[in-house]
Amino acid sequence: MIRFVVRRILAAVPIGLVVTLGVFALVFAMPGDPLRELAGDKPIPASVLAAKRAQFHLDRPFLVQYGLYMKDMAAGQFGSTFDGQDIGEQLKLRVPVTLRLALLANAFQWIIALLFGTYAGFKRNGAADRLLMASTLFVLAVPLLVLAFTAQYVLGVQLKVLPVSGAGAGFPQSYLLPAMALAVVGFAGIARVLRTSIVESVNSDFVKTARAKGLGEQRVLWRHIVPNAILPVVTIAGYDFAGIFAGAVLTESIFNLPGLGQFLFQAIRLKEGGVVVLLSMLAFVTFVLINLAVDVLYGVLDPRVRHG
Amino acid sequence: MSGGRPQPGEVLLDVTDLSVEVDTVRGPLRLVDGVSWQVRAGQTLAILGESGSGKTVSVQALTGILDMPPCRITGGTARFRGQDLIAMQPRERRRIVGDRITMVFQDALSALNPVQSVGRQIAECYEVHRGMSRRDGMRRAVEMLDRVRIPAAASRVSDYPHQFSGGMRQRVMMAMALALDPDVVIADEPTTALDVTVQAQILELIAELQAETHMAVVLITHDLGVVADVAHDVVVMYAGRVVERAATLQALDSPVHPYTEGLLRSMPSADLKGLELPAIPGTPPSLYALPSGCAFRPRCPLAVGACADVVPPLLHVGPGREAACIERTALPGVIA
Amino acid sequence: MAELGVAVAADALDLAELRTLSNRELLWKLLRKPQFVVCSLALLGFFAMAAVPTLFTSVDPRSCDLAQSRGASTAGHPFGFDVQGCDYFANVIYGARPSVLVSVVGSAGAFLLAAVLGLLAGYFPGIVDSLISRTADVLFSLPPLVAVIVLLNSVQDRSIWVIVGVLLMIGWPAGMRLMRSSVFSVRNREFVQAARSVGVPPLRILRKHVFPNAMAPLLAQTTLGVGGLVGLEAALTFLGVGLQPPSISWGSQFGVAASYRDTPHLFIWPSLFISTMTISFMIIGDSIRDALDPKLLR
Repeated sequence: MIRFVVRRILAAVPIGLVVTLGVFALVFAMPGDPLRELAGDKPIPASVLAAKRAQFHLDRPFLVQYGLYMKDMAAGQFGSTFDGQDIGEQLKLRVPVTLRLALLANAFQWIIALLFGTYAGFKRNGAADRLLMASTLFVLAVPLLVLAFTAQYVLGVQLKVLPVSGAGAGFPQSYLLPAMALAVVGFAGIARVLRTSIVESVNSDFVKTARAKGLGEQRVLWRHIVPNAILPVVTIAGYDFAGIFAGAVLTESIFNLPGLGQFLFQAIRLKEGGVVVLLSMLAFVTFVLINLAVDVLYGVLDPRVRHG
Repeated sequence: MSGGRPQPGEVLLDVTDLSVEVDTVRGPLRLVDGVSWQVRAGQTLAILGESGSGKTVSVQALTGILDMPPCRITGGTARFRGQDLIAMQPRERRRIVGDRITMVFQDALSALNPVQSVGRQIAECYEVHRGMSRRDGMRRAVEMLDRVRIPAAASRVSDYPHQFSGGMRQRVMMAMALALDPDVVIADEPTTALDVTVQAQILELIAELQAETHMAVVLITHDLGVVADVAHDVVVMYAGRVVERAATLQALDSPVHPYTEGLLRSMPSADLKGLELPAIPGTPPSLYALPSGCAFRPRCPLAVGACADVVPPLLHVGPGREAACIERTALPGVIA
Repeated sequence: MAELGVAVAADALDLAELRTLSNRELLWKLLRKPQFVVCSLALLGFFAMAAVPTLFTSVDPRSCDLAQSRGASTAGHPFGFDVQGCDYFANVIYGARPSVLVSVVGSAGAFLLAAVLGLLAGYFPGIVDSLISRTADVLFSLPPLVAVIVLLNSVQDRSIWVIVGVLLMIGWPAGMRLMRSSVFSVRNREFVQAARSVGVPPLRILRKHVFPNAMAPLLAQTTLGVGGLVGLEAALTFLGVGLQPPSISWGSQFGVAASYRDTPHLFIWPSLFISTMTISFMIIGDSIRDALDPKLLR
C-alpha cells in the first residue's frame, strides 16, 4: 500500500512540472507588460520600473523566472503580488473560503445524489426515478450562470432569506447559495451514474441470492446492491473534484466570494505569472491527492482490486 | 416454524397448477402453464427440461424472487407444510424462504456478492433469521464451511468469492443454503457450470447432507445423467408445461412421453458405442410462436393430425405415473 | 442461472431486434417522440434566429435612446429596453448567433477532433498513442478553465472563432479517451482482423470498419455536451474573457444584468432563450441515446 502511494506521488511530479511550466509559459506569452498596465496612464520612472522588474524576476529569461518561482515556492516564500499584497496572507484568507465552499458543495451533492440515485435506480420508472431523470436533465441543461442568477434573484433579492453575494454574512449563510449552485451540477452527474449502476446491480444474480435468503428489501438494497453499485461512482469522484475547482472560478465570481478561484482569475487578468503558477500547483497537488485517496478507497471497497 | 421437524415422507412442498406470465412489448407471454409437483422429506425431486422450459421461473415464482413485474403469477398454489407461499404477504414469506426453504444457484461466482466475504454472507443468515450477533454468526459460518468440506475453513471464512475455485464456490453456496438446517433446498442447476469430477463431488455432498438431515431437495437440471444419479422422482417440463411425471427408475426404464423418450435415447451410453447418437430433431419452440395443440408436435415422431387440436392434458397412465400425450395414454408395455 | 427464466430471454429477443435499427428506422422512431419533435422545431427556430435575425425583428439592436434606459416593456418593445436604452427584444434575438455558432461548430469540431485523435491513439499503439495520450494527460491535469482563461486573456480581439478554437484546443482529451477505449474494444473484432488479413490499408480500415462501430459512445457524449458548450461560452463572456462589447451575445447580457439586480427583465429574457436552447439540445441527445441503447427501453 505504502509503495503504491509513493509510486503514484513520484509519477505525478513530472506531470506537475510540465503542467505548471505550461501554465507559466502561457502567462509569460501574454502580450503586454503587466507592470505598465497596472500603473495605467501614469508614467512611472524608469528606475522604479527596473526595481520592480527585478523584484518579480521579470528581467530574467523565461526558464530562470520559472525556476526562481519554484524555488521560492518550495522555500515557502510566496512573495507579494504586483500591487504589493502579501501572497502568503492572501492564501491564509482565501483558502478557508474555497475550502468551505467546496466542502459544503460536496456534502450537498453527495448526500442528495446518493439517496436520490439509489432509490431512483431501485424503483426504476417509479415516481422518484421520473423526478430524478427530469430534474437532472433540467439541471444539466440549464447553464450554471442562469441557475446561479435565478437563485440569487429569488432567494436573495425577492425573498431576502440569503445574502445575494459576498462573504459578509459569514459561514454558512454566505456560502449556502454558491455551494448549492455548485452542487446541483455535480449532483446531476453523480445521481445519474449511480442510478444506472444500481439498475445494473438490481438485475445481478447475487441480488436473487440475497432475496432467496429471505432478506428484507432494505437490507438487500443497502447491504448488497449499494456496496456493488457504488464502485463506478467512486471512480468519478476524482474527476468531479476537478469540476468543483473549475466551478469555483465561476461561482466565486458570480457570488463575489474572496476565494482562490477569484484570486486565480484576477491573477490571470493581471498576468501575475507567479500567482498563477502557485495556484495551479496547489490545484494540481490537491487533484493528485484526491485521486490517490479515491484509488485507495476503491481498493477498500472492492476486494477484487485489493487482491488483484 | 409450525409443526416442528418434518416426519420422513411428509409432503413438504406441494405445488398445484402454478402459472406464470410475463408482460412483453408484444403482450403477455405464458412462461409456466399449470405446473404441479410435490416433494417429500428426505427425498429428491428432479425437474428436468431444456432452457426456456419454465423450470427456473416456476421455482423462482413460488419463492417470491421472480422479478414481478414484468412477470406475474396468474394462478396456482405452492403449499409449504400447508401454508400457501403465493398467497402470503412478502414479510411472512421471508420467514420461510431463506429459513425453511433455501436455494442454491448455478453460477456461484455471480450468485455470491463479490464485495462481501463468504463468511459474512453465511453469517447474514444467522443474523437475520436467528438474531445472532455478527461474531456468533461468523463462528457458525466456519462450522458450515467445514461441514461442506472446505479445507482450512477457519482461515478461508474471511476470503472473498473470487478467491475460491469453481467447485469450492459452489460448496460455499451450499454452506449458505444449509446454514439454517432447512426443510427444503431448491438447487437450480447446481453442477452445470462445473467440471465433471467436481459435479460428482457436489452431488455426493448433497446426498450425504440429505441423509444426515432428511431435507427435501428439488433439483432443477437439464442433465438426465444427474437425474438418474440422485433423484427419487422426476418431473419433465417442455415449453412451460409438465409432460411427464414418474419415479426416476420407472421413467428411465419405460418413458411414456415421446420427449422423455427422445431425451433418454440421446444420452450417451456404453451400449451405443460406435453408433451415431440419436438427437431430438428440431429446436425448442419460441414462446412467442408456440405451435397449436401439443408444443412438442413439430419435433415428435408420433405426431398425428389430432395433436394440433388441443393441448394434451396430463393423464394418469399407470400407478404414480402421468404423461401428456394423446398417442400414449398407457404404459408402453400395456400398449404392446 | 444460465437462463434466468424465459422472462429475460424474451426481453433479449426484443433487444436483439432493436440493435439492428437502420438509420431510417431510428429517425422514424425519434420522430414519433413528441419531445424530440418539439425540441427539433425549437432548435430550428434558434438556427433561423442566428442566420437571419431580421426575420424576427426589424428593429436595429444598436439604435438606442438613453432616455429609455432599463425601461419596461411597451408596445413594439415586448422585452423592454437595456441599460443603453436599446430594444431588448432585438438584442436577445441578435444574441443567438454566438451561442448557435459555438454549439454547432464547437460540438462538430470537438467530435471530429476527438474522433480522429482517438482513432489514431487506439489503432496505432506505440509512438502515436503515447504522443496523443501523454498530451491528453497533461491537458487533463491542468486546472480546468484556467488554461482556457489564460489563452483567451492573451488574445486582444476575441471573435467567436477564437473562443471556439480555444475550447477545442483544451477540450479534446475527454472525448479522445472515450473514442480510444471504444476503438480498443473494436480493433480486435473479427471483421477488423478479416479486413486486415486481406490487406485493406489501415486508413481505410479505420474509416470503413473501426470508426462506424466505435463512434456511438462519443456521439452520445457530444450531443449531451452541446448544452454545456453554450453555457461555457456565456460564462466566459460573463467573466470578461469571451466576446467583447460591440458584439451582442447572451453571455454579455448576463454580465450587464449582474450589475442591475433590480431590473430582472435584463436577466430573464436571455436566460429563457439560452435555457430553452440547451434543454432542447439535451432532450434531443437523450432521445438519440435512448433510441440507440436498448437496455434503457425496458
